Amino acid sequence: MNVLFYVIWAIVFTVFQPTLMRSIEICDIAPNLFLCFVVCISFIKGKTEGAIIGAIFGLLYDLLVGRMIGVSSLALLLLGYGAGILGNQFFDGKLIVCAVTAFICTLLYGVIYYIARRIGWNDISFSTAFFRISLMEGIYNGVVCVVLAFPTKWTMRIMGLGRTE
Amino acid sequence: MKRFIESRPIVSLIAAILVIAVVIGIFAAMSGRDSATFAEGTVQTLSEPGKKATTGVGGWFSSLFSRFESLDKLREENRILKQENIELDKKIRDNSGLEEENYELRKMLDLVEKEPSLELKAVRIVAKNPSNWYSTITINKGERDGIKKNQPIITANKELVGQVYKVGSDWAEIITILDVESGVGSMVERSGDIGITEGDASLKFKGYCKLGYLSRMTDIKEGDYVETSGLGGIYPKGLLIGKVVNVVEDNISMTKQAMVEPIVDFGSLNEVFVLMNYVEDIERKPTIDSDKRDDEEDEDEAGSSDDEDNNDDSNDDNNHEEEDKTKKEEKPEENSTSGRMELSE
Repeated sequence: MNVLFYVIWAIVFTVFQPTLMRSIEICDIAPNLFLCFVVCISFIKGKTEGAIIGAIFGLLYDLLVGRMIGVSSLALLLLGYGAGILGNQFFDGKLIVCAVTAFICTLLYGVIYYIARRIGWNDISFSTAFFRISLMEGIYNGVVCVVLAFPTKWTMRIMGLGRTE
Repeated sequence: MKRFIESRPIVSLIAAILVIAVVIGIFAAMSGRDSATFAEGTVQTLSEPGKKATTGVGGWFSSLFSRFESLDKLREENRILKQENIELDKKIRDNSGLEEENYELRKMLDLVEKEPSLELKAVRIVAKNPSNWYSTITINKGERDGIKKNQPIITANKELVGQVYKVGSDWAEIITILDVESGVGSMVERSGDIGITEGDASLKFKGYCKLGYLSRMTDIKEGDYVETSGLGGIYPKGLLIGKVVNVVEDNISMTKQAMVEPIVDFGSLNEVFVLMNYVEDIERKPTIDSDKRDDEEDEDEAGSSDDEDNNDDSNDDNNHEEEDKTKKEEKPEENSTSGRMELSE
């Protein structure tokens, strides 16, 4: 049941990320559904499952984007674990904490991705990576994370899944 | 009499009824006559205002009730009309979308017919870049349709979109000219000076790319058009890339750099062509600025009547600046200006 739950969401995100998300982009910035989901899962299910799902969904995202495969996987693994720790501290269903965590995770993801690109290609400036991409995406991800938390919880309830830690 | 009525009320009542019955009988017998009697006339005249008033009130009530009735009918009619309106709106929207698609497909067909030397494959864009860090699009054809890596992607107007980056069995990923991994051998149309148009991570968000590796002596200025140079063996010469919006001199590297605004509106792209075969040169009439064209038109007007034909021809010349402004507003049936990218045959 657990696997089915993640497979369904993985398919949904793989389809929606390059299509629906692009149609709701603001200033050429679209939210990252994969990152939002990893934050939600880390909050609901805990740090271990958050880290595992972060690594798997990160790899899926890398394969979807097709560049620097493994960077998002590593980044989301770390962020999933970190968000899980925050989730343990604030597991009282406060969506604002979830949104803020998604925002911070996006900034950290941006920094990790920037470092990787800087090492590999050196084709982007920090100001563009952080202020033009990560900051705006972070705000957008915060909002989307709150919206995404509801269907995630509903599907978990329907499929009889609960918090593991 | 009074005593009689009081002492025998039943008899009196019967007698009164009989009298009234007789009177009614008499009047009934006289019903065939033409004119009313004096009594009738008096009664009718006296009762006329009352009748009129009553009729008026009755009519008012009658119209009131009929209004309520018609109100229900109107409501129902209104509901049906609203429903029809929604359906018609939907049809209009659908038709509008179909018209646009039809217009794009017509342009594509036109290019295929005009350029038999080009082996073109029409593809549909199915997805756009999943990441904010790159500029890619995904098309609905891949290896099965003969698509290979590095093949150029162009529009029906022979404007450069990008190149094939990755190929799957029935899909392919395209990097646009805005992507940081894109590099296109380019040429300033006016002066013929050569450089390389590259994607830039920060300019991408402004919708520009960078024309670099220009020597300091390069004759380039704002408003110049940039096209592919044909160097590098991937893109044929003559595909329009964009328009120069800014030129910067780099004193350290002693080179010039220009910001180029792509002619293609990547946001509204739906159908594009994959150029399957390599062609060295796509001949194209030089792009003319609108002010220059106006000057030419003025000269033509001042000239002989024979020049009028040339003037008409110049209207069909490649004026991309004007096209940029009118592209979105241009209706499919206003297809007369779409021949700006026409080729010299």
